[in-house]
Amino acid sequence: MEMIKQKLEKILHKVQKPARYTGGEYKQVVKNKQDVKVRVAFCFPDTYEIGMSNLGLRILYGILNSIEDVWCERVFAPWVDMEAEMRNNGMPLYGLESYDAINKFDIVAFSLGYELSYTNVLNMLDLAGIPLRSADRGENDPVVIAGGSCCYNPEPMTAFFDLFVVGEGEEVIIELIDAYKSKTDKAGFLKSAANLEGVYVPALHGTDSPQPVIKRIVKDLDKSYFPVDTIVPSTGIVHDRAMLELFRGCIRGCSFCQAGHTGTPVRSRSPQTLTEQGKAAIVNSGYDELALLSLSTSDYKYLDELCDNLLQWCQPRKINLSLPSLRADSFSIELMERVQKVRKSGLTFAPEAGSQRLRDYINKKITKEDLLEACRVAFEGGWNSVKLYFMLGLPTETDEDIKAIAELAHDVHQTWRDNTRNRNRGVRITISTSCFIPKPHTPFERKAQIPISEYLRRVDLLRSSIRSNAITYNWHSPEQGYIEAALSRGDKKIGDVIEATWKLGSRMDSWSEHFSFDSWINAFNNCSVEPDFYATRERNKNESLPWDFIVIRGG
Amino acid sequence: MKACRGTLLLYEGVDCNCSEGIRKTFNGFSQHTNFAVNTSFHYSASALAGTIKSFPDALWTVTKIWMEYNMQKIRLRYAKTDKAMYISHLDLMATMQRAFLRAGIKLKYSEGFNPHPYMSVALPLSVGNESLCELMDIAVEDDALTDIKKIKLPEGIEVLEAYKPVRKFNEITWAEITGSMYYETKISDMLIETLAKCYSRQNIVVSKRTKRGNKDLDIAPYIKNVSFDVTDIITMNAIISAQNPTISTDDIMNALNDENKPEYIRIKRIEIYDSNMVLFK
Repeated sequence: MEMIKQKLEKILHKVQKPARYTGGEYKQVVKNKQDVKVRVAFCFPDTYEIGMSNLGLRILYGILNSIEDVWCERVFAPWVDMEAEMRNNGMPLYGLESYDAINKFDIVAFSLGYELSYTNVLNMLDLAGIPLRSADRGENDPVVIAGGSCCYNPEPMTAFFDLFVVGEGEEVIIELIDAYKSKTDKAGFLKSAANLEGVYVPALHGTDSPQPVIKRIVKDLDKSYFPVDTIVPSTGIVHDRAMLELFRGCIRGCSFCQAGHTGTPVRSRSPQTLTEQGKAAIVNSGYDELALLSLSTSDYKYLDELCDNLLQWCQPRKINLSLPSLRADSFSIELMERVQKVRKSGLTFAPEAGSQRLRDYINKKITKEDLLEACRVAFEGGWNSVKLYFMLGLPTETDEDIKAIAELAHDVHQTWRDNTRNRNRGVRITISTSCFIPKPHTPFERKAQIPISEYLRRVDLLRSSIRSNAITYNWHSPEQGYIEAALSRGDKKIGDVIEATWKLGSRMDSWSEHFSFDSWINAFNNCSVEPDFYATRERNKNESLPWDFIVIRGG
Repeated sequence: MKACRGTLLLYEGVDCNCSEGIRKTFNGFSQHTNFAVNTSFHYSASALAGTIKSFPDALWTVTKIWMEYNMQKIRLRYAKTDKAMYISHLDLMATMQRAFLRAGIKLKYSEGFNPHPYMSVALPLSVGNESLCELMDIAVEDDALTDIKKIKLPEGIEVLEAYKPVRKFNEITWAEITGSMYYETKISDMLIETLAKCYSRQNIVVSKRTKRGNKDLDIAPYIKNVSFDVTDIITMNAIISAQNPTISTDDIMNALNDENKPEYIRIKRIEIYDSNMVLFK
């Protein structure tokens, strides 16, 4: 601890945003090492600002630290400048609470939320001085485990983890800790852990045809733990506000959406519970904004009642409610009008596809009329900026579907002209497209991603179909999406590629300024693995899939 | 009529009728409205609020309005040391605001479209420097001085005192500081002698970065009572000008030749004084 503290003093004045690396925030948990039996490093493989905005981290941090003899600390991926300083000064990765190196911890737990963070996982293990591969770790190395939505296809990362938690972690993590306490060696722990529902231990599940692993869920969400008294960061993070989780799962079932298909069944919290939690979260944190989170907030049955309750308490206190993930319909916009008295910034809708035919095909049940009606209410209410999100390359997409995106944006523009209070102010309509990525456990899990060149052709087509200066078009570069597609439907061979590309210098791949497509392609070549085999190939219905043994519908 | 001070920001796209109205209302305001312009004005608070309401379509925002006539101000003295020295000024403001709200302190908010609490720091501290004598004024709804023990802050920030302010921040002139100087190489007697000599020169000209490029400044009149303590590191004790001009870590560093420069200097503010070297309160 002293060693790391001294080294930090020497290097922190040289790096960007040093407050990310110090810990010491209000409500961080510090325990007496003598009283603690199990030390957990909760590792988030991205920066502090991203990781601290993650609700899962807050939940598990709270649950683990509520156990008296367990101490859970936070670890984030250092930004590249900090990483360089740490390596130059021989400084290992440490827990923010204790400043102890995490290679002496009992359990090192990673949150795997998106595939492009995989190289950060390896980089963090390396910075910690922990052997990357499970097979190379001994009795004195920590148990390295993973959870999060990427574990619905754990195969690409199996070589690096001793254990995966599939599904929701808040109950199984306590069972894992109990199992850890009752066993004296790693093998014994893994053996008993493998019997827990939702736990996948690659070494014990058979290499060729793993036993089924049933995803874990929390049955009674209303009674489950929610972090209303949690860390308040001392430096700005991405979502700097108090959070409420309305429900899990989604009634919609859009065919491309992994979260919607893996989060089943839908489980809600009661408006009474949420109102109390919302007040407590504000009082305990001192935040002036409360976000109502879920996969589709408009679908919460008691949304009106909840908003009324919260508004009554929040408005005199100048607390703002924010409602991300609203559906594009007039009900939602009217609610938004009522909730947000100030800050009429921008509205964001995600029709995902331009034509009704394609929206019906992908089961995104929103009509053009819904969207235009929502826009009408919004423009009448004084909004003057709308963002529309689409995917290019959805299965069955034709050039007509792409032109329909431009048409839809023109219709939104016309709606603005017909309904705005003041035409002189102008309007900003922004179209964003990204490349469709087929995901495991969705109806599209066997579909092909379109090649990069084809995505770019469709981008050009869309761009040339836009005739109005009021419409801006942004598109995500397809290279990251292509790699993500190869990783998300990958098998064990992909693990070698991830390690190879990390060795070539890849990290922070979700940050476009650090993503190196060349490095990935070289790694695929060096491992004699063909990325097209994973990304752009359609699987026939008889082909077995790497994630077949993960059972989603068990809960 | 009571005075109200503030900043008026006009954004691009304000329509002419409206800006004409504003121009008439706020005496002396005559800039082009095509660019964001900044002007101070003196006007009654209620008339100002009326003006805002009478131009609902204008794309303009009034920021930083504070009413001096009925404001209950509290001055807090706090320390910012150790881990907290890496919290930037902007982040500190958010951190303090949240701590006040947690402690149940009713902050007074500005008027306008985006109300924000009135908080003002006397001498914003650079990231990486420490202080035992930071001052912040806040405006509150009720008159009562808060129990400062209720204000719970991150490690390294501690509110030490709260009182009703009398003097204005612009009377602060001097700051007593220590500067911990870290060297890679071993510290020699020679080095300390050189340092002492360097800071006692008749003229100490350093290049200061300003908004209009670099400017040479003789900092000799603004740095006094320099002495050194030597342990594992060299600690400089000095009294430096706190504002107009502010002597920064860089200035203290740049007074030295390259071969005598430490790896880095960590400044710690110990106390602040007015122009007569009377403790500022």
